[in-house]
Amino acid sequence: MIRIRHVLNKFSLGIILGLISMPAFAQLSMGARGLGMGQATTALPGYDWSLFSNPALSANEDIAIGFYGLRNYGFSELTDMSALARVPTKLGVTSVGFHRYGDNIFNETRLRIGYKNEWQMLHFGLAGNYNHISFGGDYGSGGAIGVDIGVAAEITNNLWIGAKTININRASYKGIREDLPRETAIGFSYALNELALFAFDVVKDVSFPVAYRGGVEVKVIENLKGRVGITTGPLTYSLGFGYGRDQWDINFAVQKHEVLGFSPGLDFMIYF
Amino acid sequence: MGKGWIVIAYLSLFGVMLICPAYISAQEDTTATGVEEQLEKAFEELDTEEAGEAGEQLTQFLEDLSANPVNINSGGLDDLLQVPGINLKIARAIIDFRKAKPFEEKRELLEVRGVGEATYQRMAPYVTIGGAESQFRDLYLRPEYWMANRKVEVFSRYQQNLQTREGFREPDSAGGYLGSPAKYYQRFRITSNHLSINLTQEKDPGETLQGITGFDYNSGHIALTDNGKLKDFVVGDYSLSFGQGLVLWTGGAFGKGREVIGTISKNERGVKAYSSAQETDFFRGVAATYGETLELTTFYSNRPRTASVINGDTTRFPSSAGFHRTESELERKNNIDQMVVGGRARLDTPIGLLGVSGYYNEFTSYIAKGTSLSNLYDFEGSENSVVGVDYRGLAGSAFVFGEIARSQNGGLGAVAGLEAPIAENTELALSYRNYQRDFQSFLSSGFGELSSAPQNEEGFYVGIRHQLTQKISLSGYVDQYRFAAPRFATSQATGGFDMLGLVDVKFTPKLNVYVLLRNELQDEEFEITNERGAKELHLGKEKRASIRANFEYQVSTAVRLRSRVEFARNKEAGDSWEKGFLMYQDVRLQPTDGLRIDARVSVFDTESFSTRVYQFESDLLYVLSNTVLYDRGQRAYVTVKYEVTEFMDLWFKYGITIFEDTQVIGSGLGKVEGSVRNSLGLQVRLQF
Repeated sequence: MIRIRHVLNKFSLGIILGLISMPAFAQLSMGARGLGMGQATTALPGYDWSLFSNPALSANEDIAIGFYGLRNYGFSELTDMSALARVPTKLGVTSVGFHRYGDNIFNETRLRIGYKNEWQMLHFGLAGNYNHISFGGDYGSGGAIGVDIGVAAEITNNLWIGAKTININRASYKGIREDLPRETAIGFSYALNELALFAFDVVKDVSFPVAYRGGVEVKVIENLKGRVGITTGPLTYSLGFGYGRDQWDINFAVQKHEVLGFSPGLDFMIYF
Repeated sequence: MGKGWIVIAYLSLFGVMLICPAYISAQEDTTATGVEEQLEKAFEELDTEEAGEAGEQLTQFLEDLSANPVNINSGGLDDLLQVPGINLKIARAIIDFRKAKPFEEKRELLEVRGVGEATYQRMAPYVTIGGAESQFRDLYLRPEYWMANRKVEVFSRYQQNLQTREGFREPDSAGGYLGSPAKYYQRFRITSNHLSINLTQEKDPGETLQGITGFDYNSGHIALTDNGKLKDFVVGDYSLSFGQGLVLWTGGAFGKGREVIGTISKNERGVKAYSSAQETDFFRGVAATYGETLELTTFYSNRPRTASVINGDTTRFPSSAGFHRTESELERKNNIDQMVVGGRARLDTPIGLLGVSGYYNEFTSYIAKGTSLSNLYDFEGSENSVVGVDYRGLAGSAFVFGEIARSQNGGLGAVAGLEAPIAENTELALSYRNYQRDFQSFLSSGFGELSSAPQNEEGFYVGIRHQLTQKISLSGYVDQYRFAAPRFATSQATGGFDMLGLVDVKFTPKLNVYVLLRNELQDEEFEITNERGAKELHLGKEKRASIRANFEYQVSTAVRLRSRVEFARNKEAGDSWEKGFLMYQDVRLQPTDGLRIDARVSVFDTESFSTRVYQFESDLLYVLSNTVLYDRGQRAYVTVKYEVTEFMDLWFKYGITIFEDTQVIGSGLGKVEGSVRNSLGLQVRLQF
């Protein structure tokens, strides 16, 4: 994870980026379904990419693997790539995830291992996260291990609450002066009926103003879902759709940043 | 001091004398009619002639028995068996019962196995708990009476901030703290239905501790409670709270808050034995309350206080801090004495409770008030007295209350209000207060904006609560107030306006959500530099507004979740708006009956101290933890309560706050380097 200022020196984007006052993060949450819903994924039950958004909400049904790619603002240098595998066991759901952002001049790599279980109707999860960033040339590199925790519960039929906090151990990179973000989020999701699902998150990074994220998912026709979402801090709008069968699922979304433009993302899930 | 102990001894004796007549009236009953009724029941179905013969003897027997009733606290098995209604089984049960605890009143026979209401009515005319003398023997001389429901508790509590403060780095001679950074508290307490014995000892961080007698703060009492008409009798430390608090009120009170109804009036607690570690708000000496319909209270207190010396015999008003950590703080510890003597009479009439209270206070030093404008009407001198009358009662369906009091200098303070249902599901509370600027009642606590003693405030409060549906309740209050004389940091009269709105929804018995809005406006002075470069003082408004959404959900019997988001906005007079934010997620787990774990993660982000946010935290038993958070950062804590065995409970708390943009926290001797503040607490309670 990086504050965009490190990239400034390296790219001619500097002028454009200089215009934005809000911090432009590399993505923390993964998955095109979540992106289409404005990244309001803290309380989205059974979300395939919840290892990255709230480890308490991993689905415990099938073994699954998934791939995700996001091209930020259309620049190949700012690409997020991610993969994930999820294995439900008797002792809880375990997940492994991989995420890489950037190119050889600046890049960031994350390796995540998650565990989720349920006790007395409380869903809880823990994720260990090894982060590594490296700057091209002699600008250095460093790694850090962060721990994320999450809880969630179904309050009434189809109304979920979720909360997570990331990097609770306050890890910082060894070798370079850079902190991992520390973000806390509380969210709700509500499936009104078979047709519509609403999600809303309040997100606070310790270093930045509070942000809100909201999204809606609507069933268009059998197996086809349409999504819209909005985030503040930074302000973005997103649109997406997903098509799913029993054995696989494909989702596409595009997020529009006010100044920086469009970021298209695509994911593909396979269930065993 | 010597004079003080004589008075204590005198009053103690007075207290014992009060106990004795306590039961003389308690044993009166309708014996005669009871006997007659029983005879009637027994004989009316019989033939008159038969009744005449057998009846005469029986009548005589019963009349004799009722004239010399059997003492159920001392009567032998055969004596008890004489009583109609008592069979062998019941007689044995009575003897077993009184071995554990003597009877304090006849109706306690109903608690004896086998005695129902009908049996009791039969035996009642022929039994007694004895007159004053035998009661003295059967009750007060029996350890079982004093030990009924006895509970012995021992507390030991240790708390420490894990960062070293500046005061512990400074050498003693340079004004550093003399003692260790640990805060330690211990308490021994014996309570029963009629007795309370307590010793509380405490050492604050930085204070020294030398052995069991070397605590900086010691508080103890021996108290008798509910002994007939002698309601309370305390030797040692106690708190007093009377009427609406304008004359005497120590020991805490509710004020304006989320509960808009029921908190504006005060329910007096009278004389209460004191066991807290709060070091200033109590009395030390002797106090007693006696009576039923007419209840009389008298008290005498004489205790040392700490005050900063101006010169010679002149000091400021005693401080309320209770810290004696440095050489200079220790030097002035207990440098003056405060003597208070007073009393109260309260009459329970059909129209309500009427009370009169008053006291006389004397300091051994001359108290000089502060020199700032806000101190203009503060108390000065060494003697003061305050008297007041108060009332609580019902007028129709409305509950009405009020008090008016006068301090020695002639200053008046008054409060009056009512609480009434005004429509279906709607309650209204009104309160008007007017504490004159020279009303000097420093042992009191009146309803109002200021948390200090009631002085220099006039205000009107209107609160309303409406139960919209079974699940939704709406409540709110408005409170307008005015300070006629300059208050702290102002040079003129100021005022303010305070408003609260609450929507509380109980969606299901397990799910509760509320949204709370608060808004406050207060006059404040600010300085601007005019075009000629001169400073001008202006009066402006400080505005504060906050909105909070709180969500509480019982997931299962063992899990409770609570989430909160709060926004605050503040605008100092002559300044621009600033923002504050708090969000937390809280989890409570109860895996077994004896184990409870509370954990919370909070994020806060405030632009200034004025936009600070508060969160109430679960803590060790009897520790109030309302943490204030400002600047930017995170806080997390975990509190564990574990019942190890039936007689031992353990508490543990670890809390950590991490600030983002701060490298130094606090100032002076309390200064801490770094951006982390964490603390540890441990407590054990043994119960026998």
